Parts: sequence; C-alpha cells; structure tokens
Amino acid sequence: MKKSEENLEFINVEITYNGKPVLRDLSYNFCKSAVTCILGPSGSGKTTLLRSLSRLNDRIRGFKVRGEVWVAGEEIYFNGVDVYHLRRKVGMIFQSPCIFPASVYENVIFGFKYHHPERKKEYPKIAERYLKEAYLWDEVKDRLHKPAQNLSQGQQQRLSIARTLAVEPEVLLMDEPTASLDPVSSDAIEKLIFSLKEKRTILLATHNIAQARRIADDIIFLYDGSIWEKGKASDFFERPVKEETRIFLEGGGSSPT
Amino acid sequence: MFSFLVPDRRCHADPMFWITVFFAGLVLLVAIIFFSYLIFESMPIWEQGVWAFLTSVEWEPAEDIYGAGAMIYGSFIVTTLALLFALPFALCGAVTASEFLSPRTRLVFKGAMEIMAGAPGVVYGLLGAALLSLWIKDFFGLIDGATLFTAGILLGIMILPTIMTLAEDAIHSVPGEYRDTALSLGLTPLQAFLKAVAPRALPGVIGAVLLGLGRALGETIAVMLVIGGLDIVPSGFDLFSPGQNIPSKLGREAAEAIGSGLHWNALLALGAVLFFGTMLLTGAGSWLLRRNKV
Amino acid sequence: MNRKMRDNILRGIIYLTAFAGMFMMVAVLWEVIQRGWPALSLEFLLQPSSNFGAEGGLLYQTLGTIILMAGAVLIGFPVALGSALFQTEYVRSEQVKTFFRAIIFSLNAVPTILFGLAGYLFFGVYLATGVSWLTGALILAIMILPTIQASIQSAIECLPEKYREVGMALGLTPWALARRVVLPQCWYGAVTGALLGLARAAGETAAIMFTAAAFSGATWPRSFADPVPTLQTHILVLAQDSADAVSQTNAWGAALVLLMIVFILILTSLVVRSRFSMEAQR
Ligand SMILES: Nc1ncnc2c1ncn2[C@@H]1O[C@H](COP(=O)(O)OP(=O)(O)OP(=O)(O)O)[C@@H](O)[C@H]1O
Ligand SMILES: [Mg+2]
Repeated sequence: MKKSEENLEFINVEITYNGKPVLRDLSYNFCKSAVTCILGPSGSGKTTLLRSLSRLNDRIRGFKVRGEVWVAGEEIYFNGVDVYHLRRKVGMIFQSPCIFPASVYENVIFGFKYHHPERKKEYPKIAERYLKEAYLWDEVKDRLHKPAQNLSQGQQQRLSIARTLAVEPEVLLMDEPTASLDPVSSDAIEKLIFSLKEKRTILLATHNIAQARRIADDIIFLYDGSIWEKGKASDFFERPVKEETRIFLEGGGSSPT
Repeated sequence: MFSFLVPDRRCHADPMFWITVFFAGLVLLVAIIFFSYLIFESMPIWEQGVWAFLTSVEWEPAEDIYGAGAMIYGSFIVTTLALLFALPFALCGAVTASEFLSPRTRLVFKGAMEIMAGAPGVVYGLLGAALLSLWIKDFFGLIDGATLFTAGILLGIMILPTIMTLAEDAIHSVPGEYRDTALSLGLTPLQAFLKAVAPRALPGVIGAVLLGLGRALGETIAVMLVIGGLDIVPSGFDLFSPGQNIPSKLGREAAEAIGSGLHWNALLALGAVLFFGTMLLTGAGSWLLRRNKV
Repeated sequence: MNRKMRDNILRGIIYLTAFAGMFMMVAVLWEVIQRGWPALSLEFLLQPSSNFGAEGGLLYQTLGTIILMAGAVLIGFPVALGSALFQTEYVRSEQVKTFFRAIIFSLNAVPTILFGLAGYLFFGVYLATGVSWLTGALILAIMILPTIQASIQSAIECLPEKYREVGMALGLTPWALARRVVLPQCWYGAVTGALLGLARAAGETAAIMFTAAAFSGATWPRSFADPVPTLQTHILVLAQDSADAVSQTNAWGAALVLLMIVFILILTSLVVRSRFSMEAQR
C-alpha cells in the first residue's frame, strides 16, 4: 500500500514500554498545513505519541510500536527505513530550549551544516533566513557570534525552532514548547507557530488549554491510553461529547478523576 | 542477535561504527587473554593442592617446593599496618576538609591531596630506603631497618592522601539538609557532623578505605625496597623482622624464573592470589562508594 | 559548659590529627625537594649518566620516561576513546554496558606488577619484541587504558540527555552525534584522561622494570627492539645502594624530576577538569 507524499497517519497503533501499553487503538490521520493540539492529563502519552513519529525512542530499551505509522508516504517502523532521513522531515522542539555551548550563528546552522557540508557559502544566508522566520533576527543580528547561552529563555526557544526549521522539516512536533517560558515569550512563540503552519504540519502537545484554544485547528484528547475524543477545535471546545473531556476542560487541564 | 545495539542499518554501514567495535573488541580480547593466562599458568600449582599452597611457608625453587604462606602473611601484616597508621590521619583530614574548611581552602586542600595521591611508588621507595628505614633502625635499635613494620608505615604514608580525598568526597556528598537540620536544632557543627552526617557517610568512607587498601596491597616497588625480602613468618607476630609480601616476591624473582617451569607457575599463582585480593577490596570499595552516591 | 568544652577538645584533637597528616605529606615533599634540589642543574638535566648511573646527568633517563609514557598514551588513547564511544553511543542494553564496565573495572584492579609479568611473556617472548621500549609502551598502554576510558566515559555520561536528543531530532547519525554533539562538549574528559594516563605511566616502575628498561649504558632507542633507560628504574637501582653519597644525590635529583613531571600532569588535568566540566554542565 502506497500512501501520498504528505500523509501523516497512525493506523491501529499500540505503543508499549516493557510490555506495558501506554497508547492503544491509535488511528488518526493528521491534517496537513494545520496545527493539531494534543491534550491530555500528565502521563497520558502526549510525549510518547510525538516521539514515536520521529523514532526518537529507539535508544530506549523496551519501547515497542505495533501497527502502522505513516510519515510522508513511508511506514516508518518498517525495517530498512532511513531514520536519519525521516528525522530531517520530522522536526522536534522540546519543552526546555536546548542550546549548544556555541555562538548563535553556529547553533542555527548546526543541522544544516551537517546535512549540507558542501553548501558552505550559503550558511550566512541560511542563518539569516531562518532567524527571520523564527522572528529572532532583529534581536540577535548584532550578536550572531556571541555565545547563545546568554540569550533569554524565550529567545533560546525561538533559536531552537530556527535551528530545526533550517533542516526544512515538513512536520513539526512541539512538546510543550512554552511550558518553561514567561507569558511574553509564549506569545511570541504562538505567533510564530501561527505563521509556520502555512507550509508545515504542526503537532503541539500542551497543558495550556487557553493556548490550545488560540492556535489549534484540530484537537486530540488523550485519556486512559487511547484517543478519548477528537475533532475540530471549535467543536471540541464548545461541545465536548464526553464527560471526562468536560471535566478536563473545566479543571483547566488537570487530570479528570 | 545484535539487539543490544542501537537498531538501524545505516549506522552499521558506517565505518566509524566498526572502528569503535574493533577497539571495544580489542579491550575485551586483552582482558580475556590476560585473565585466562593468569588462570592457566597457575593451574599446575592449584592442581597440587590449593590449601597446601596457600598455607605452606616453604618456598624452595631449587627443589620445586612452593608455598605462599610467608608472602600472604607479609601482605596481610603490611596492609593492616598501613591501614592502622593511615586511618586516623586520613579520617580527621577528611572531616576537617569537608566540614570545617572554607570552600576555597577545601579546593586547594583537595587538589593537593589528589596530586599527592598520584606520586610515584618509586619515590616513596627511595624515601623508605634512604630515610625511613634508617630512622626506624635507630629509633628501635634494630640491626637492619628493612622490616615488615617499615613497609607498613611507608605504605600507610603512601595511601594516606588516596583515602583522605575519597573519604572527603563521601562525607561531602551527604546533602546539606542533614547538617542544616541538626544545626537548626541547636547542635554544634561537630555534633551535627557526628550525629547527622557521619552515619550517612559511613558506607562511602569504608569504600574509600577499601580502595586505599587495594592500592596498598598491589604496590610493588616501595615495599620491595624496605621489606627485607625474607620468606618467613616471624614467630610471635614480630613486626620488626624482615618479611616478604606478594608483589615484592614477584618483583624479585620474576627475572630468574621467567617464562617456564613450575617456578613461573608458582609466581603466577601468587599473582592470582594477589589479583583476587585487590579485586575483592576494590570491588567492595567502589560498590560502597557508588551506593553512597545514589 | 562542660559539654561545650568536651566538644572543643574533640574538635582540637581532630584538627591536630589532620594537621599531623598534612605535615607528613609536606614532609615527604620537603625531603625530596631539599635533597633533590642541590643535584638539579642544567648539566644534570642535559648530560648522559656515567659510572652506572651513579654520576653524571639524567638526559637519557628523562627521555626514556617521556618516550614510554607518550608511546603508552598514543597507543592506549585511541583504543580507550573508541571503546568508550562504542559503549556510550552504540550499546543500548544495560547488561552489556554493565559487562563492559566490569571488564574495565577488573583491568583497573590488576596490580601493575602482574602486567609486568604477563606483558613480558606475551610481548617479549611470544611476540618476540624482547626487552624494548615498544614492549614497555604496549604494557603501559594496557595499564592506563581503564584510567583513560573511565575519564572519557564519566564525562560523556555527565552530558545531559537533551543535547543528544536535539542532535537526534535533527537527523544526525550516531557517529555524527558523537563527533558534533558529544565530543565537543566532553573533550575535557578525553584530555584529563590522557593527562592522568601520562601521569600514571610516568610514575610506573613495576610494569616496566623487566620489560622495557635498561639500567645503564643505553641511550635513545635506534629501533623498536631497543630498551631505554628510565627515571623510574634509575631511582630504583640507585636506591638499592644507599652507601654512596654522590649516587644518593643523583637518586634524589631524579626523584625530584620525576615527581615534578607527574605533579604537573595531574595538576593540569585537575585544572582542565574543574574549568571545563563546569562549563559543560551549564
Ligand atoms: N522510558 C520510559 N520507560 C517506561 N515508561 C515510560 C517511559 N517514558 C514514559 N513512560 C510512561 O509512559 C506514559 C506516558 O508518558 P508521556 O511522557 O508520554 O506522558 P505525557 O502525556 O507527555 O505526560 P506529561 O504531560 O507529564 O509530559 C507514562 O505513564 C510514563 O510513565
Ligand atoms: Mg510530556
């Protein structure tokens, strides 16, 4: 079975750690060029779901995926898939910004440099282009060659995003990207996400329901190890079908008990 | 079959992967060759009777009679002496550094200890042969200063910084809350240390001591120069008699026995005993140290 | 009041004992410096020895020690680095990691004299390299392997997992990860490991005394099969005959030179470790 080039889909997926299932009966076809928010109480498997899409858990022993995970026309847990190529197409942003101890410039082009060692002349242009795309250029253009660790947390997170954008992913996975930031920086990131979704499929795990309301097109609600409820953002927030979802939304994102 | 490796094809096609496999395999190979050599070459001796070899004190290469008793006794006595000598200084030093020195001074102190801990054995050997054995000879009115006692004291001085710095690590890694709680209850710093910190640091401190002992047990040159080199078990636990320990025996006789015959087998059997001893000490020691950390 | 006094007395005793311990360390240093210093001079350092090492300088001994320790690190370092990277970057099974750790650990526990015995037989007799500097360097390389590897590995294991994950998420292969993410941040572990390895190799006598060292007469090696004189064995020989005053001065001079070499190496490794491990952990 061949899938279309832009397809991002789970078909009957079960994910286990050491035989203990974390996610069951996972079937979902993600909308392209849209923001899909993944909601759910802590421990419901949001991070696991995101990481399974770029096979970041390969190093973890006891992690197993059954079923089919399709990314860009490929079943990615099929033996013989080039994971490194896959990870270029699927970028990941982590909860706390992770900056290498090097200059701002070196950080932006870090991934690009590795994948395109022959395009040395373009590095400065690439750096500028993606720093601009991450709305960071104006703030750092005078200190491109200063240590990136001196940037603020919010700037560091945008720098991580720029670094990921520079390898030109089609899908962007974001695991609570604003959880460790102040409100102003969060706002900046939300705006950025909004502008990014035109060309990329974005999956965003968040605990912040207000944030999901602001930027989500679609919602998946994970609960009790499976997709409990899903739908267009407007429907989801206005008319939640299930009892647990309502309690979760009313509790402001805390666990329904 | 290779499921213990990170799974993926392209990485296994990478030459750098195979280079690291090669080096890791080399390390494995060296270890296997070394340990099997030790076992196989000492076999003829063990076949003659393990207990007899360990307890007999007769070592007569000319008649092919080998007993390790004197060397084992010497190793035991010398290491025990080193421990008894070094312990009070090392522990008090560690307590002082960890609990009563300012962070700056502590760092300098620690650095000095770590540097001293790396001083070559042969320098201690020279000190022992040229100075310590003479002092001991004059002080106790002996005929010769090369005795078990001299070797023990010299080793004690030698492992002092090792034990001190490791024990200090163990004490210092006890979380500050224990100290603060005890202090807030009105205990003096010393009492706080004794009542709240010391019990928690104890396993790590014992680990430090065992590691130091492991080092003392295996030291060759320093001991060789001051122990006297006589394969006897002196009567009445006489410490001021010359003796012999295992490494010193190996160092003295390896050249003449080299390569073949029962004599060489006997030396390697001694070596196996020595390795077993150091392994036991350092194994237990670092297990305790690691347990202390988590 | 009574209690406080007891407290103070106990504290006094602890301080005094600690001080006595420190005093002993200083005394050790002082004896070596005070006795070795008169021997030190430019000629002493730059002249070959004569009269079986009892007179003359230390040129070839110092050279021999440096050749042996440099050779040991040149051989041992790549092996240790490769094997450390294999374990941290490619192995994911905890059991296999534990097994390798146990191997390294037991190699580290081997008394050095045993390396001397086994090494002489294996390299010197079976591989017929004889008593030579190459045999010595090989044996010392095996001896310092655990030191170097442990230093590299502990630095790598201190690297927060998040850096590795970012690299992975950007599509780096394990080797690219090692070269571009792990090593740039953990190089200090490799440097301290190499320095400590050098220091250990420089201070080691038992492992080389019948495999690599010539006691007198030898100069620098002209082939792989030549032995070298070393500071360590030089001191050992001179220490055994303590009657002659001149040879004693030479022995102390050699001890001081050796001690300085070792101390400088360890001190540098301490500085590197404390400076850069802090930087990497930020
Ligand atoms: N490496 C692992 N080994 C075993 N179990 C794991 C591992 N990682 C996660 N889990 C388990 O999988 C479940 C889902 O974890 P996950 O991190 O995906 O949740 P999450 O929804 O991201 O939570 P949070 O909102 O707190 O980030 C949890 O029960 C967790 O205990
Ligand atoms: Mg999570």
